[in-house]
Amino acid sequence: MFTRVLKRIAIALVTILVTGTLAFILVRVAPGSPIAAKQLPSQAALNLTAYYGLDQPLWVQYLDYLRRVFVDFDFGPSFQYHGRSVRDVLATALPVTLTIGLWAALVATVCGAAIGTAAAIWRGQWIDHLAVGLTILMQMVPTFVVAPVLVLVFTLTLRWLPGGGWNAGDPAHVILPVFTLALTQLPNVTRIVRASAIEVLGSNYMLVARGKGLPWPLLYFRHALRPTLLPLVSYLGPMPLSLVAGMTLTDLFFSTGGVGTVFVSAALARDYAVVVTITLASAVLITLSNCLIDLLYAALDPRIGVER
Amino acid sequence: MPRIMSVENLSVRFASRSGQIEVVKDLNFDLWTGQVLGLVGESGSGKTQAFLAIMGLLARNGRAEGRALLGDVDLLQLKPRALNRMRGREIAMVFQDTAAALNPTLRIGIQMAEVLALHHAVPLPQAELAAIDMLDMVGISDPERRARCYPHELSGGMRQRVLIGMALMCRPKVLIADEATASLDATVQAQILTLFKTVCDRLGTALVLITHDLSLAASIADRMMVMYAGQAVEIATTDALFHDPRHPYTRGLLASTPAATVTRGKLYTIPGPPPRLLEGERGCRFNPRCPHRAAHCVELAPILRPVALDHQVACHFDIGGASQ
Repeated sequence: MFTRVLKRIAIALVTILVTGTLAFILVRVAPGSPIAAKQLPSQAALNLTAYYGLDQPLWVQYLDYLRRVFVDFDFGPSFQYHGRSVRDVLATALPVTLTIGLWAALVATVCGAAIGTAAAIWRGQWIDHLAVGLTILMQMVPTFVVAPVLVLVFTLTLRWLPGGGWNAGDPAHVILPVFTLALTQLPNVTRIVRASAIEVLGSNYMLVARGKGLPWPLLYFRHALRPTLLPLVSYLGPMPLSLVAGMTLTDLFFSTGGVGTVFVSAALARDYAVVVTITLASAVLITLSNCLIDLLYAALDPRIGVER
Repeated sequence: MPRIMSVENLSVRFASRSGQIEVVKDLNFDLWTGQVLGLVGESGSGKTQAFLAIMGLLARNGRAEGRALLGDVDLLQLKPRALNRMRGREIAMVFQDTAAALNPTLRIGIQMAEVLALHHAVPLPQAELAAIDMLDMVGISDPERRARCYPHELSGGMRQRVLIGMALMCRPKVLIADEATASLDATVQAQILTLFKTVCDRLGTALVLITHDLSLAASIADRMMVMYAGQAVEIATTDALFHDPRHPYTRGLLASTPAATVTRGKLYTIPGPPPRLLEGERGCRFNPRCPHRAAHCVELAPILRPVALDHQVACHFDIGGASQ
């Protein structure tokens, strides 16, 4: 078990390093530069280039970057926001993104599991048809359509919720972005849980459990819950990845000022340090969640774990 | 000897695209204290469905009719809550396929103990002690350790014993063993049959042994019921059934059982395809495959009638005499 955990950590570190390196190279290879984007007089541009060390060979810059990140935990200055380090920029953006992301993951998981289970229990009845229909609909409609529709309904028509802004995390401002993002994950969760619940409820051991005279709370919660959740847990691993991807759009649409907005403007302004750092942070987040999921899986399913 | 259970006119229908399928039709039989009833028939003859219906475990598109009296309670009329009080306590079933019949995420001690905890309001830890005793009784060595195991950590034979032990936790009056030994090798099979016999003698449980293996049923059954296409075609004492089979299907079954002593010649097979079970078809369900078929066999369904003491046959003919 211990060696297994060590091995996982080693693989995770390599993954993060490779992702960071690729991001570092790709963003430099892209045409344009952070200095050119500012359209300064030539001497000033040269001075700035030297100041940020961009005149050095790429491999020197790379090693320098690695040393700063891993030794000093310093991600360098932002080229785009004057006088602010990448750390400062992310310190304001990251909490926004984490708040929205975690809530969205929670909403999608809980609602999806509930809807999927209900659909499986009343399989073939109207609840099931409704759930499956809505799932397909949600899967088809992209975020850039869902977000305006939500704003149209809840902001412009009903006037219940603000249509954008962050306002220091005021709950009313959080709700729409969270639901928009959750809706990108909800269909997958619902589908997985429904399929899994149908399989579990039709399994032989559930028949045996019913044959023992167990009432429904014991049937569902003691016997069916854990095996039903197993496939969902393995989906939770890659979920942060799609959340990160979906976040950019919701962040831009609702002007919440999260990592998504920062990432897009940084990419446009060739703000190298910010782009690479956000990519690195995403890689860390995803590998970390995958490790956690592995451990959770072993805890849920006794067939996995100690023997290997 | 007291009668524990009597099943009257049990029919089981499934709704399907091609109409109602009648997988069990007008089944009548009794179970007696401490006796073993062997239930034989080919796959799809309704053996399992008949007992799933009695247990209230039919698939959603299935409907059961008739009466299944356990004492004076009709199991088929019970509301879910009342039925749950009977299942596992008064009547229990051991299922085929041991790999899938135990919950993979629960320790077997819990899975066994919960039956007792539920029906006798015993705290779970105390019920687990009883489960350990039961594991010992069904012949599992080192029961304390095995009780803490998950199903995948046990062998097929051990899992089968666990399932049997689980069914016996509340000392049910009726135990149904559905192909309970089919997946086991011969020595383990013999041990488990012995275990069944011991349990019936000791606890007075009435055992129903569902199988397609005639010789296996013969080794412990007191009485036998042969099913074909959802109907009982012959009910008799084991002795009578083997030495004086009266139904053409039973004779066919016996003739197609390989014998250890005969080494030459082709094994007999019953000609024709297995039956269709659509409702509303007339005549004897075995008639297309029957060597004795006559005109009225196609028109008129025979009913089960006594031909000797404790021997009933559903056939228009009286085919007596020694076995083929």
